[in-house]
Amino acid sequence: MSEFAIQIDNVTKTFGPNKALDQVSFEVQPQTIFGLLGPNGAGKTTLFSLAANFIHADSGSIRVLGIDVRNSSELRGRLGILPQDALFQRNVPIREQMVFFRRLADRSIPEAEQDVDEALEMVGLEEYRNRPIQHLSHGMIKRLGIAQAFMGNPEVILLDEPTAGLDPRNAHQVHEIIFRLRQSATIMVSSHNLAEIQSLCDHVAILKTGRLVSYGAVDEITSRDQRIELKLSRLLTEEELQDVLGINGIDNFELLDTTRYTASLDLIDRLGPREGEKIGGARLRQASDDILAELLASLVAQRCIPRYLREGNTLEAHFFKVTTDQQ
Amino acid sequence: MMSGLNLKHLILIGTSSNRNSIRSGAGIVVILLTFFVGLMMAGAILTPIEMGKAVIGNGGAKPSPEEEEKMVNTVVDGVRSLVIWLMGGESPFSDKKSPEPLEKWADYLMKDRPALLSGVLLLLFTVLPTIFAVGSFNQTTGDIATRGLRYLLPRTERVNLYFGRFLGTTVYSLISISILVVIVVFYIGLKLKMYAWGELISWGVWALAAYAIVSLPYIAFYSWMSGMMSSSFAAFITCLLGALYGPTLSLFSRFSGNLEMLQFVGYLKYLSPWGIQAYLFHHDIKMVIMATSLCLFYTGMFLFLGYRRFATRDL
Repeated sequence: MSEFAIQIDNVTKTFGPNKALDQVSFEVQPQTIFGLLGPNGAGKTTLFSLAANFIHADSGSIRVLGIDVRNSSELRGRLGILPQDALFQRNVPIREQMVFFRRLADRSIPEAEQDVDEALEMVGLEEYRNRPIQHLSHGMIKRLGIAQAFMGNPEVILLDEPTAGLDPRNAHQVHEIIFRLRQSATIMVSSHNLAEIQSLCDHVAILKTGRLVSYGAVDEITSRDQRIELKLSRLLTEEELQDVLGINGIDNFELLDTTRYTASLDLIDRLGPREGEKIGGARLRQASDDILAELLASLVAQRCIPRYLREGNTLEAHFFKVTTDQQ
Repeated sequence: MMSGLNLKHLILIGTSSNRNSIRSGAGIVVILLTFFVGLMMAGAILTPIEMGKAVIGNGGAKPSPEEEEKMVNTVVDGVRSLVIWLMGGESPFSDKKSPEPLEKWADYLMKDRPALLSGVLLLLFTVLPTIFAVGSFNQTTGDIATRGLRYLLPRTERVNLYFGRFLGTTVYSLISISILVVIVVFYIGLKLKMYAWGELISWGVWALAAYAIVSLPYIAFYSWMSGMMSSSFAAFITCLLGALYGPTLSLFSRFSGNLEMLQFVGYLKYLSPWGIQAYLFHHDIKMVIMATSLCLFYTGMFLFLGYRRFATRDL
């Protein structure tokens, strides 16, 4: 039995001349919610499709619950998947489609119907069970997709963009479902919504143009970088701006509008060279405080008073940093 | 390559696929097309007999047995020429210097078997590949395009998806054809009253068995095309071209005269089941066994090539 729920090992996949994934490796711990992030075209859906055995890798391997995904029969019933853009049969009532899915898991018709009714109730679609898909809204279809993914209590669930295109109420419902599923399964979620990933996930991996550019626990990753936003009493002159940028740990300092600025803090850079030293959260917080203290001191010395200062979304800060800086 | 084959899954997938096909209307179109084309073929042979009977019986008189025989002989001679034309041509199985086997074959179909039914069944044989193409081109291609198979892939093996759809399509096509054959047999038996029921039914059952055998390589070929393409339209056109490949080369072969090079082109029809399918109605059982074996060989080959592609392609 593998200690990891999902193991991605050196996976490469090309589509014609384009390398969608380039030697990507990471692991997902059991009973966690794992987030997969990346800009458009980063390779998230390709990675999902490989893990779900929809497509095959050129090289490398993907193991789910210790089983190579190419041996999909051994994973039958243990892996649930919400594909991003797959369509259900349009004319078929949703209950009938779902019963068919459960029948493939060797359930009798009454057992399958019971499973389906429970799943539809969990996602709030029990009233619509006899309607064809074409009569459901986008949000309902998404919830139906999630319901089919967790039917039969699989041990690992892959959700590709589960809230894409949903309004806040529907997205919230989906979050609640994912939190409930966490009690019994390992979940891997891909999303563009950084706040969603930060609130849902324990660990994340960030892809950029097919390469893994960041990977780890959300707490750890978000403590590496910070983004701040501050409104000043006036515009900074060029010299004052250079002074600010000279502070060790400030990556950039940009004008957003009128007198509102945004800055990225590189806490690791501030701490200086370390050889194999693991950095704890306390030291990172200290580094953050040091940078902010220097920044405020510099601004106040110039009689440029901050009217407000706000810490930005820290996963967002890290995301922008790794997806724009690194090549 | 075939690991994970599961009989229960095959049945579930085949049944579900047929149900969805009927629900979407595509399955109904196939049945209607089968009936329309089939009854048109039957009409082409039976209408002259009925019209002749009607003309003779216009004054209230019933046609005499001699008059009836004369009418049937006229039609049967026409059908006989058509049969010889369809079955003849340059082939590895016929000897153009000695036309007797072909004559014997035609006699078997026209004299030993109910001639009118033979004519209808042989005409049906020529349009079956096209009917099968319409019913089979979308076995998997539509769901590949919409990625609908992605809901099934975590639940079953690709082998079950591929062969389940193939079996479902084959069974559906055969049910449609069977209904048509039953209608034709009963029509000839009840309306024309020219043949004994035993003769008609046994020949109808033989024809159904022949249709079942010949449906396999065609539908296997269409499965291959369907699983290879990501566009339903492209699959449809390719399957139609596949269906018309045999008849086109057959016509070419008939009109090529004695030009050896053109005759060689005509031989290419034997690369498809079209070249051998008529031998399923042959009087010599050895030829029937040979044709059956070749049909099964083509089926195996097309299924192997099709599944090899489907098993490794991106879905």
